[in-house]
Amino acid sequence: MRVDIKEKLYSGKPALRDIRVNFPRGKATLIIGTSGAGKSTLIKCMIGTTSYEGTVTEYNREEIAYIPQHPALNVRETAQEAIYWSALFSRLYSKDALAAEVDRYIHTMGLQSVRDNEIRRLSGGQQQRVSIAKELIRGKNIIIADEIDTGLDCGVSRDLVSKLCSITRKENKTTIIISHNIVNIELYDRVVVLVKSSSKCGGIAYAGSPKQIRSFFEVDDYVDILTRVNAADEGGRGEADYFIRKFASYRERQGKK
Amino acid sequence: MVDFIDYIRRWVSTKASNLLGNTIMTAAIITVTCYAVQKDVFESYSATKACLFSVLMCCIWCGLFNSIALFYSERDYLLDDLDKYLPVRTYVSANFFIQFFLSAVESVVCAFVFSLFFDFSSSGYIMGNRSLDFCVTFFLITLSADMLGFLMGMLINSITSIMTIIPVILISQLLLSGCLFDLHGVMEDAANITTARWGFYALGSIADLNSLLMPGQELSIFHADPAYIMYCWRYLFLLILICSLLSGIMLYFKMNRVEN
Repeated sequence: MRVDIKEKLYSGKPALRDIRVNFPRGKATLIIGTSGAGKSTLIKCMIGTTSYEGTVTEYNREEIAYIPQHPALNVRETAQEAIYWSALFSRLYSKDALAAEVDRYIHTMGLQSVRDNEIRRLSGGQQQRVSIAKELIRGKNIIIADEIDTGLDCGVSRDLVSKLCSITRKENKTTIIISHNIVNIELYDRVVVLVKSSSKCGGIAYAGSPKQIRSFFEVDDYVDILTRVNAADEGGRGEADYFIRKFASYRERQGKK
Repeated sequence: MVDFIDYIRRWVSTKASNLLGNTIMTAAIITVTCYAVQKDVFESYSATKACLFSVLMCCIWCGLFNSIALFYSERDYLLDDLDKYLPVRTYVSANFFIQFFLSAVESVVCAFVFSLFFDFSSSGYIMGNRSLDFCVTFFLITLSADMLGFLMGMLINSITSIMTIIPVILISQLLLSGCLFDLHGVMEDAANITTARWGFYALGSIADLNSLLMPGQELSIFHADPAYIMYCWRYLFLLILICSLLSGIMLYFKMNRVEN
């Protein structure tokens, strides 16, 4: 999936500018960024629910599975039923294969012990796993997950991301995860850092491997990345503009090579 | 058609208890209402008119409650399902089928309770039995209000806002029914697109309200003849159709909207 957004305006004001980034198949990408940097807007552009100037290519809208921040589930259904109905309506499986596929995804997402529990009885992390299984079973190639680890403890969050990343590699999917949780950064194949410039417009401050991100931002601790790019009135050092420029010239050098 | 059947199966598997809950609530509301207004019904004009008006408002309330309660209880995951795999037309038709069934069950309950409380002639104008005539009218009123509630659900995004709107809908139905006072001009025109007006006219005609008036008095709105009752029913049917179609169109645009 190749995103090239020249500009996205909201009420005449730019919300995103010069967003050029690739999301390769078989890789899990983390989109991390400061508040108001346009992460959700970027997702809306990718799934086609908002207009923008630019192009999103090498994908098919029908191939996207979107996992919302708050699981949209019928709380009266059991975990197994929720996954079953999603699989059934996808019309991908024969009657015989359906039960086996539901079973497979229940195992993949570690839901065996709660498969017959009503969703309202599940914890937030378990509900999120049901929500992911519901999307995975529909066989889509591009998975976009919007802050799915918000409100979960670090262990549950790590387990969730780890499962999603491993499925991405095993099943050759394109996975894009928006998250505020930077502690799991090493689990991903790629990281995109979206920041809010001094003119309040979202731009890319980094896109690449998580291995080089600390040296790019000249920090020892991942958390300090956000401290450097956050605005001064948000407790940061207000260096977003500097890193947008730094990344633009880095990308230019890479292009020339 | 496969999606339609699967949607109904899925709905029944988790929401069938709603049918029972709504039916019990309807039975309770209609019983309390009939008990409260039972004196002199089908003997005096004003008592009968007040009774029919009360029952009419009960049916409107039950219809509105059916769709609004159901839609907002499943709104979040429903919109997600509609976005991902459930075609809008499948949902709209399946929802119509469910509400049709729910309204039918509730009208039977209403007609049953109504006939237990009141003693009226058994000969009907359209169905051969007056209880059945009442039952069909209750059904059309309930379903019409139900579809109006569904349309409101499409127009209004939050349960808080809809709770503010419901009293406005009920009061406007109450005022425009023509029961409390005569309407003229714009109000008269507005009344023609309300469930309350046509429901009230149909009920009044089936109850033969004119026959309870003093000799020499006659109101032009209640005509105890099959053609007039059919005329009122057709209007109710038209309201059902319009609200259903508008709901479908609204939902389609809601799901396919691209913001700027």
